[in-house]
Amino acid sequence: MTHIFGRGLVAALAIGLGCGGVFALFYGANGLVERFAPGNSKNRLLPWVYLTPALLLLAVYLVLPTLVTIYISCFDARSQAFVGLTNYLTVFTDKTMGEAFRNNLLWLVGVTGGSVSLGLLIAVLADRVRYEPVPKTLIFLPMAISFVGASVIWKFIYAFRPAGTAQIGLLNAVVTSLGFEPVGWLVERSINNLALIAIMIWLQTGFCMVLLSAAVKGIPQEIIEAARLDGASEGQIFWRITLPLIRSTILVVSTTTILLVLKVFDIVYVMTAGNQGTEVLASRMFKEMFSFRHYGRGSAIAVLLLLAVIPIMVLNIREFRRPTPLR
Amino acid sequence: MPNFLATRLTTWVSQTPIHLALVVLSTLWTLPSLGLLISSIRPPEEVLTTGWWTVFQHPFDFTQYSLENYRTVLSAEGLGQALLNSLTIAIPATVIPIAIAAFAAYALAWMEFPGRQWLFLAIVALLVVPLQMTFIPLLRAYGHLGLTGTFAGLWLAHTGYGLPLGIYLLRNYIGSLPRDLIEAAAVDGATPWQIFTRLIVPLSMPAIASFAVFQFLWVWNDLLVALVYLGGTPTVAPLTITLTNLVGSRGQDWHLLTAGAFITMTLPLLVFLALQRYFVRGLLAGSIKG
Amino acid sequence: MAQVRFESVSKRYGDVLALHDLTLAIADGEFLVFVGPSGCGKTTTLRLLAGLEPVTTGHLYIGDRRVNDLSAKDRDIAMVFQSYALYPHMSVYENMAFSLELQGLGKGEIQQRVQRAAQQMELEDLLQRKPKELSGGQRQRVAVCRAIVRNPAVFLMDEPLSNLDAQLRGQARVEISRLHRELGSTLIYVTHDQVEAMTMGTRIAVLNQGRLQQVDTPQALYRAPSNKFVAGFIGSPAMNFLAGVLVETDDLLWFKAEAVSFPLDRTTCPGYQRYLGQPVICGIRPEDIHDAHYVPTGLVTSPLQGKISALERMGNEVIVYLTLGDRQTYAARVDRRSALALGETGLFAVNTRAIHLFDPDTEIAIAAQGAP
Repeated sequence: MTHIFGRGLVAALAIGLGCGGVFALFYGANGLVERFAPGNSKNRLLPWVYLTPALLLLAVYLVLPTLVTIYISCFDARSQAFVGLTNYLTVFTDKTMGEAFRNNLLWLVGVTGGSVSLGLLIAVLADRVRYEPVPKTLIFLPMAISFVGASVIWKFIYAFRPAGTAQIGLLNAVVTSLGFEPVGWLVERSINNLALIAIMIWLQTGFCMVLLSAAVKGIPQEIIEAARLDGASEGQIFWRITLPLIRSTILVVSTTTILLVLKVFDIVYVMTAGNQGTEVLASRMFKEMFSFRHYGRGSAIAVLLLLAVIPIMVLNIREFRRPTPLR
Repeated sequence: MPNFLATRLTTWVSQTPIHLALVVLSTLWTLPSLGLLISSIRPPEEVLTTGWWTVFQHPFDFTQYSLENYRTVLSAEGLGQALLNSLTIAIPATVIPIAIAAFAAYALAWMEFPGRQWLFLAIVALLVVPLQMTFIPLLRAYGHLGLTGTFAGLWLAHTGYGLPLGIYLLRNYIGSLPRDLIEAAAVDGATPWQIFTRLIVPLSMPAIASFAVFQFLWVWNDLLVALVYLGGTPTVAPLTITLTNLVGSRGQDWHLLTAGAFITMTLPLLVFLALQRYFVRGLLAGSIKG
Repeated sequence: MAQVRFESVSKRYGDVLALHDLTLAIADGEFLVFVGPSGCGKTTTLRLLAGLEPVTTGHLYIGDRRVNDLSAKDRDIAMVFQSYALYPHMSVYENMAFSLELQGLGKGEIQQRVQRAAQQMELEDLLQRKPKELSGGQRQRVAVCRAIVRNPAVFLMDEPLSNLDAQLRGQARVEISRLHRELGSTLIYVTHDQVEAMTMGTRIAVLNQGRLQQVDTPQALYRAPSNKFVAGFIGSPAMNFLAGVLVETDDLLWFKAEAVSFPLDRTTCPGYQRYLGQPVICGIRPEDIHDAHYVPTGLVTSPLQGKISALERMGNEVIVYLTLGDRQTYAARVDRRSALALGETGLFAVNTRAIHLFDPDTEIAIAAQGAP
């Protein structure tokens, strides 16, 4: 009992130190400038007092590492010999990398298409019933669950027992009760990627639904009523009025999902560790770094990720700037 | 009156497909978590031999439930320590970036200095950097500095990664506060520090809460960053790592995995349910996190 | 309490000159109103004085101190903003106590001063409310109260009444004038509303396009505007302007325009000699054009015929819009008994002694040019 208490105390101490430290830093620096900086220079110095910690951290954690990564992507495994673009060539010709590219593409299409269309469907349907918050909360809830937690949940759903024994995985229980043989969902190469993608759809649909629902509700009721008076059917209203009006939100939701999927790592790492043909770029990079200790190739994959992200991010920020999320 | 009832009835019937679709989808989305929750409170031998749905044959037979699994994972499997570690990681990794981002956002929004707009744009541009871009150089530097496997190293990493979004969010919100208010405080005799602490921070609470919820959930649920910077040290491993290891070492012990997974989910679910409004805003804004 | 002095103060934003070479001394205890159309530089002037913007060139004094380089908090001023700028997260009491607290005063003294100020503005019952629980008029009073609680050397007010409806505005004008008398502090007030300027100011400074046009008491400003802008800006409906020439015949001075001509009194037009035979602009206030049937006794008038294009019967007076054969419309403010009717040609009488003459190029009043 005492050692639990002791460990709790240590944790509390660490938390206090970390949180208190940052305030002490600003308070001290501000006090120094206010007291010792002569008259006019005070106003010129203060902005930098407030900015420096942020700029320092951004430089150390984002700017410099990015530059270094680009640089060492042109070196060998231990960053000693310059190898030009060899790493990139390897990355593009390697067989498992080909698999990773193919899988990432599959993820992009599957997750983005699945969660955006399901999210839109639920948003539109829930808009028409009085108990709207209930399905919306239930479907949104997985958003709070970590990829690791979700992986355990779904691993249990996909659990496989040999034919003849009782199935404890929900999916195989359904399959066997219908008279089929149980399926190794995470082992069969033809379906294991889809099984992983389903997890991501389960997690991501709530996000798409919330944004799309807000957009659907943002359409002025008069426009819908005007269309109805003009004789449009509910289907026509959806395809010809609603959909074009929420186009911008669909774009934001899709690009956001794409960005997330491009870097998907946790699900694959926990569920299959990238085996049985389920490798994706991010899990491959992790392997290059920690299993093969090949920093050159790991960096090259990271650079490819960056190159893939930039155009989508630019598109996203441009669309994102239109609605104001916080007001 | 019967006429009115009839109309109600026809509307209800014509809406049946909608109700049906919503019920099916809601069930699909809830079943996985429900299965997890039920399994986590069933005795091990039953979890491993029968499906969790069999409890519905006698749902109110409480002898089929027990909290034994939770006791086992928290003590024997080290999830108790991991829970403490997760808190030790997530709380400062949320508070530090909020403080640093808020000060920077205030300077960027309301203080005069050359290159202000340019600097803000440069920070927003950093949103495109995938975290993967930074791992290898930072990991090497951490090795030299002895920061690998320390809480401080992880706090700083999460702070650095969270800052572009935090500054972007907070600067936009703080910049939209009425200029008159800030000037009134200046005329009232407030120093920049007092304007920040007495005016900007209380008025920016909605934005700060959004960012806090988002950053907290992000850090709490993170596996990758923790794996990279904490390595295999079990004494500092957060829940996500410990649970992942549990999947590896006890992959078929579903009674432990389900209880463990539920422990990792409790706090984020509570935060989520309590602060859903801010969470939505945070997600909306966080949708461009790198 | 203090005197305020602008010495050749200019303010430039990039290429835009917002305030041009303002020199003006405001005496201790004075109620000075800056008035002008939007964008004239009046708010800029106030912000320079408050220390919210740096002065580009020139010197600014409050009391004996040159304050160019002092920040807002060190200038001993209080300001009422157009939006009131009440801190939304603080109660009325906290709003008022904020500046006192920052000065480091004790709790007891703060409470005393807040109570006293709240009494003065009859706000005692609202002290625990948040700004969003107050009506517009109450917010305005809180904003003023927040300024007086500090007892500053100078009060600055930036259009504090523009968000009130007409009735409250009237009350608030009286209230602020009363406060100024009671406190006896220097008060500098910015407005675009000439009614506020005329009713409240001990002196009025008229600004246009960043330049000071004239500073004087309200009566003097009305009676002797120093240029065409001031003449047109002060008074409602605005002064009528006619272009014509100045001629002298048979011992009489005449203003001749395309449609009309008036004889003028030389004594009321000093400095006219230089303009004989030259084009001038003649200004007549609407209240100096009377219905010929209801001319107050003792006025020297000249007849005027005009076709009536619009009538506004206000009850206490009638505003008549007439055309004289040129394309312009002129306004006349005539007696309420007037029987003039729309569309007919009316007979009017112009008070020729109240005519103003302006140089058509410089737009400066000809009378003012003669003065040293």
